[in-house]
Amino acid sequence: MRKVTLTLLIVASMALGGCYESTDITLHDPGVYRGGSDPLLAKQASPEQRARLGERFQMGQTDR
Amino acid sequence: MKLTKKRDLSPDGTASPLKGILGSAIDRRTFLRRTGLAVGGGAVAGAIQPVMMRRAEAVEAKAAGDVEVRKSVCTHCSVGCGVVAEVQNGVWVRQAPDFDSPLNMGGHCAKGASVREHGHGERRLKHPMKLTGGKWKQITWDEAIAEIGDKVLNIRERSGPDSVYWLGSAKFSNEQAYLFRKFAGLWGTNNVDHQARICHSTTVAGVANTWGYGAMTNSYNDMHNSKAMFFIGSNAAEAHPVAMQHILRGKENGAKMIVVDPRFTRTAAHADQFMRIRPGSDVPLIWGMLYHIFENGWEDKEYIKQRVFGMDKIRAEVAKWTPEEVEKVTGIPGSEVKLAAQTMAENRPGTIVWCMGGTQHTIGNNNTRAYCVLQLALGNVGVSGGGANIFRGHDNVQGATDLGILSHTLPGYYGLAEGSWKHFANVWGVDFDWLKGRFDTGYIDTREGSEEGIGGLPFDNPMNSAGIPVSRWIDGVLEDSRNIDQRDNLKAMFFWGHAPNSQTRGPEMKKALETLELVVVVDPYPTHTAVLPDRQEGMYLLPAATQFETYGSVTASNRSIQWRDKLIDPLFDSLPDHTIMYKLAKKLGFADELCKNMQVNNEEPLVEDILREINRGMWTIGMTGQSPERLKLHLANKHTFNTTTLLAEGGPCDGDYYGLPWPCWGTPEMNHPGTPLLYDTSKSVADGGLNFRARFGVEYEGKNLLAEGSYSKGAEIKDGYPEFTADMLKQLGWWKDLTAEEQAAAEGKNWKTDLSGGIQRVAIAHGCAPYGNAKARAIVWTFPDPVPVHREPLYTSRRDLVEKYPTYEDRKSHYRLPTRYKSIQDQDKSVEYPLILTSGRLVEYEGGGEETRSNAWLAELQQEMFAEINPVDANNAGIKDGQWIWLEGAEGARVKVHAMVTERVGRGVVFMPFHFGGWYDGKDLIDKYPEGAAPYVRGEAANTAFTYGYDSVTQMQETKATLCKISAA
Amino acid sequence: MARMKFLCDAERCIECNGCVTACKNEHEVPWGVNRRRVVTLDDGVPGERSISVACMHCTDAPCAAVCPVDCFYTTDDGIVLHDKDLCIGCGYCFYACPFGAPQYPQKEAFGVRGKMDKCTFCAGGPEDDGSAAEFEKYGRNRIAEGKLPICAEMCSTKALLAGDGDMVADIYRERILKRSTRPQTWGWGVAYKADS
Repeated sequence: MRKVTLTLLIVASMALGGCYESTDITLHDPGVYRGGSDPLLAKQASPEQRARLGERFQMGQTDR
Repeated sequence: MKLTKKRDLSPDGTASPLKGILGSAIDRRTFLRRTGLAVGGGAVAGAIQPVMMRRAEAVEAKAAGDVEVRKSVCTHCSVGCGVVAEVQNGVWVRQAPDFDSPLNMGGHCAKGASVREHGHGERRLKHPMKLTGGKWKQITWDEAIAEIGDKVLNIRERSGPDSVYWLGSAKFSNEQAYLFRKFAGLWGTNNVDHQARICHSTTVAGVANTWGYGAMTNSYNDMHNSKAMFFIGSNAAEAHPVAMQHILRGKENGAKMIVVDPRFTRTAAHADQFMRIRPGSDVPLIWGMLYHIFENGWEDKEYIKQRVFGMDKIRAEVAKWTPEEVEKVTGIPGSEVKLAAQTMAENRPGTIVWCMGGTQHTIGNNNTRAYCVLQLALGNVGVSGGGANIFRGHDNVQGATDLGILSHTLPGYYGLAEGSWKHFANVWGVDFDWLKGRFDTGYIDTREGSEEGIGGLPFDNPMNSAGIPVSRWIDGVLEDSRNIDQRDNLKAMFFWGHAPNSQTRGPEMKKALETLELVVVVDPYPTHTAVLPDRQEGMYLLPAATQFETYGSVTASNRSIQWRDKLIDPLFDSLPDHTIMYKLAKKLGFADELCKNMQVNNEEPLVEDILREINRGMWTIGMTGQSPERLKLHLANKHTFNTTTLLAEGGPCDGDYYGLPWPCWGTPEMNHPGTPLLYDTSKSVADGGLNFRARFGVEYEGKNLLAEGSYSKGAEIKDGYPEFTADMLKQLGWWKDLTAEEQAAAEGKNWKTDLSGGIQRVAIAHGCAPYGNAKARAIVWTFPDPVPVHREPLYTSRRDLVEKYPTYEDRKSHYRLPTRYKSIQDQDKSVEYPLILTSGRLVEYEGGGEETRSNAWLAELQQEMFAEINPVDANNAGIKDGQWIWLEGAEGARVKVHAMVTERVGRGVVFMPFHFGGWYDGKDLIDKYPEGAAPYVRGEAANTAFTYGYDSVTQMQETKATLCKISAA
Repeated sequence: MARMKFLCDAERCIECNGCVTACKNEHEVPWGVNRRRVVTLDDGVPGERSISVACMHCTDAPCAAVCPVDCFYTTDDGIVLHDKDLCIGCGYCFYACPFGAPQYPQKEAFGVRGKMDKCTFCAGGPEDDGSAAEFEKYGRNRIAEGKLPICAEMCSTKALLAGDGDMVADIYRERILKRSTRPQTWGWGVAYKADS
């Protein structure tokens, strides 16, 4: 009987151990992009393109 | 992805408030997603594959030709948003924002942002169809016109021209609207009407009879200048979304915003004050506000003295509306009413906005006049930031109203008197006697001598008597012919751009549709008309092109007239409406008269020529200066107009107001800039100023009706004056200012009938308004209720108020038909039907909704018909959120809809949107549509359950206050 | 370098869904996929407010962090894009996204996910700008054309703003001052963190 109890206790403690939850959080950092290259990136760097988008914003989204 | 073990969850980490919101917010759409959308949506999605495929096609088209940019105007509501289309090889490939438009500045609501679907037309009616043995069969245009024409001529032979009903549309361009009214006149009937009857007819009648014109006085843009904005029966956020750009700018400029509605609408969500009104108690609320205004002396006394007639009689009525009585009738606490009155008094100029919540009542004309009186008392009319900003519904309902697709008037509100017909016979270049002969003048004698001997009805010459209004066509079919003030019942109906689900009394409408000998639908879509009746024969569907497939002008709510380019060729077998009119007129034998002044190319009358004829005749409202050339110039130079004043600053249109808002007086050559604000005396008439119109004579009961000491800037007559006539010019010594040619044309004429425009030109040259200078009238002695009073709805749950505020006596003949009031109100239905039923709009759909429910981008947003029910009423009826219910109207018609349990509606009030159709009595009628032409989303038509009830002046239908009961389905 | 941002001014948003259909129209987004939608809080009761929500193009985008195939990239001005050729439709990004932006067109029966689709700030994907291939997979590339997102450009009340974050903030600040209300930059704290 005692042996059974002991076994049960061991089993129970092991089972409960499975319920242990770490308070640590796993965060993910982005890896390195593995897809194709986007020609837009170069375009966006040009000052003319930036100016165009700025003008477009003024034209369309302000309360003129 | 790299995994890194870290100790803590950072406080601004991924558990965002928004995620919670997205998970928990229950709004109209999440609600509908839960009510079986997954299943229904999936089923619909299966049918939508072509949209995916079209992507590839569009890209191929891209390679195939240059992109052309063409400009049009949205065909949904009356804001008049500019639409920019990119067209390639005849395919509408892309839609761009119209930043240049001073009306929308690029903005669109869900409907406007999806109009490119018109270029797909997946669910359109594609070919002429004929019902044969209960099945739709494709036929040719020639067959259709020949068969329909023969049938109609046969009916004319047997029953007279009045037995054919020409139901037109607010979706026509101005030119098509005008041609349609002319068509009906040449056919020989006044049984012609359109949606304005059931949207703003009580506005037009009430407001025109108060101060001259029945239109929006200011503009959406002018609301930037308001200090207070009072919305009653208007849900602009859903019905006129882009107007909210201007409204919210006004609010940011400091305006106080008050919303009155039975529902806490999306507009109310932006208001400073919301008052929940009991449907149908508008007059008591307005008088309740005036009670405080008069009591505290907040009225504009000088303004009233100079410019308003009859305010003393209003005072006497208002005195009865104590805060206690107002609360008892409207349900709004006295303190709220006083606060609203004070806000309006302390924040001037203030504007009032109303829509169908105010107009669609048996006392709609009383409501609209009460709103006007409030604004007159505050001195708010004729000033920037003030006015009555009446938001019209459809894109061209203002134009179609102006151009007279109405059973009681000719274009330009000329009325139906002999003089008016003679004016138009003159403009049209047809012989007046020939025109008169087209009408059924013979039946008067027949009727008086008839055996039945029900004489005593005031039979008029049908040429001069108002025809049956669209709200009552059902009775024109079903009523005993001896009770109808014309020879015979209606035998044929043309639904030319009209959704029948926008009308009440579903079961009777179904029966009427089954009784007619001939039903013809002319529309881009089959509409509810095609599927509602159980018929085997005698029905035709003719595919009309949309406004994006033709061109012409359209009048926005603020009276600005915009030109639309043609974006693409008509899709499938469809034809522009004016071409169909020409084809039919040719068959019926009056095409030459119809198009006498117009070039006709391949059966298509030249649109510009139609507008030129309009310009030659529409002197009353000054739709004479807007030539096609001037409108096209405005289209090309939209960006030069100020977005608040609408004035062009520099450029080729310098000094014009955008779209030459009528009145744009005189001939196009006179170059009048249009009138941005009606009755604004701070500007000269030549610069768009005005005063109230002298329309009701010069005196009443011995008292002066003309303005006193008030006149528009620069007027040489520094007081009130009557409307201008040739004789008046002579008396004033101004006759010599006319050229010899003008003198010849103007002799014996007045400002409305002088086709040379000389009288208008000379009056304006002397600083005067051609239509005179009078007071606005707070009382309309020609109406059933000269002073606007409250009357309970025909179906009211407040039986305790019926005795004190009863409806009218029944009338034997009103617009040719017996019209019941008291006999209906006398029956107490409030026990069996305890809930008030009201209706309104959703932002995704428009009107009867066939067009928008056939647009996949919109249909996806709103897939189920529903009724909003207060939690208390739902619990009392044992109804849970989202379940199917039967809603039964007080006349026994029932609809099966989803329950949406929400506090948006007050206790005791049920709301349904009116855009659904294609179901009847709980059944989806999908099998009755021509193949491939059923809209993606179908549902019960709300109006099926709505009941009898018509305005005492205009026959507007009552759809905002009736009774119903609900039960689980 | 400017930083592209979205901002929805809840005082101006009226839940008209113009942004939603403008997006569908411009990119031919199929039924059932919603790159943008409007969410209403406190629907039907006082305090009701609506906001238009799509991918916010986050700084340190959580979607990119959890992607097992590393298909995300961020442009220098902060637009978060992805390569559909790599995407395996695993759905991790959906769980990581604080805005519920990622969408998965249902490819076949049994709810098997297709490749993830989301708002691109109208900047397409890695294919050649304006190419048919780019349009097919990602929709139009308005940014390459010198235009800004169609949803903001067509917003009925100019509630939804999209562009350089500083210009967006300037407009919004002006409105806040005029209205004398507290700023409520929905989602900015989460999306743009320190640089908001």
